[in-house]
Amino acid sequence: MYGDISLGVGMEFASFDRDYVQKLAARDTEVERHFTSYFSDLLAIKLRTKLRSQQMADDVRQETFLRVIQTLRKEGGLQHPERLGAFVNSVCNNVLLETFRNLVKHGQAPEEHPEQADISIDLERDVVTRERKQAVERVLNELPAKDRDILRAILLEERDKDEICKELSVSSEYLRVLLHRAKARFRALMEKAVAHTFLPVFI
Amino acid sequence: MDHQEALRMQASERYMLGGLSSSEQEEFEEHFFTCTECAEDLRLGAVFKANARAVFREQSRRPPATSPAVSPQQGLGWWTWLRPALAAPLAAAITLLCVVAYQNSVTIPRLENTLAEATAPQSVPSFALKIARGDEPIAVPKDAHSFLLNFYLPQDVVLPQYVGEIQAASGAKLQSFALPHVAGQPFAVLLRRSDFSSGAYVLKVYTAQRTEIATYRFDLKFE
Repeated sequence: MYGDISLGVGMEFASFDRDYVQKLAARDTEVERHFTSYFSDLLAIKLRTKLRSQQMADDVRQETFLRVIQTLRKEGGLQHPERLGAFVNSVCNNVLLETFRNLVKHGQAPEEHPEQADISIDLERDVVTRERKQAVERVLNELPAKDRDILRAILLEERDKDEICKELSVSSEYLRVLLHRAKARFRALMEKAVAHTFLPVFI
Repeated sequence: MDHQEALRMQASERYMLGGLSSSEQEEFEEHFFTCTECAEDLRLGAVFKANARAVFREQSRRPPATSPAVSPQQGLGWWTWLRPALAAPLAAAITLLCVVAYQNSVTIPRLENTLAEATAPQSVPSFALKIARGDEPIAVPKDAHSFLLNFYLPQDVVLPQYVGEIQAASGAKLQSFALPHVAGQPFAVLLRRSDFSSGAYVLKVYTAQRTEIATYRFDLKFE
């Protein structure tokens, strides 16, 4: 993967097998830390598409972890350890459903407005660094003005993609390819930055 | 949805753009929770997006390029500076210089002294809280600006973080804060002396879902 050095998002690969699950249930510190780190981001990314409130997203995330851990520590626990990820996702879905039901019960509209989601999540604050911004700026400067405008509309203004396509006379496929290439270029720049950081010095 | 299918349909980009149907979204979510490659790609996308937003915001805040300087007029004497059009900006500049001089000679040295005092190494009295029937007596020394309360939960710690709340004896909430868990360490709360007076208080610990986990009572006395 990419390691914690430059991107800070690469997670050390771990096989979600019986050994991992047993250690997690047995409160192994390293495994616990890996587990929460690995799934925190994924839960945040998922919840951002469904909830407007950061507090609510945090609550759902915490409750998901609590229920997963409690299940693992029960007799029988998780029948298929290799499906740990799917189990975490499934528990999250249940907690979300209960959250929405509670909201409706108390006369509030469910907070599922993915097209209006605009929560300032911890993920955003924690991952913005000078080095990454420089890499992004370079990616953007390499693009034609029109593509920069498209990315601004998608990423900053978070406008509806169909609206963007209509206004700028581009297809959905064009948006996807643009985003894909921008990400790939960003990844390449960050990997290069890591390589330069660790060039050996020959005396 | 398997990995090849996710790649073929550019699921990661479509997820970021909100271009998946509800069922596709569900399938992709189930997939990326089990596929390290797609998970990594989504993380990369989230990082790229966060930093791109920061860059775009900064670019929006940058002032536009200034127009070329106006050529100086010829034949102007020193009295030119007293003309109204120039006198006002000149007065503002002089005022600003005075403010800067005052700050450099008075305000900043004072702030530096205050900061030095605040950041100098200092010992903080620490008190262990226990779940007991009565109030735990806590005597804070007179020269302590802060004091630390530490405690263990009465049950196994299963969450990376809890929520703590300090309440007055009446039950009124005074302070609320996050309690991150550090393996092998008790929970610790650093409190400022100036925020409290002598008397009985309660520290309650909750999960994020407001499930009460523990209650600690203590009786503060400031020497």
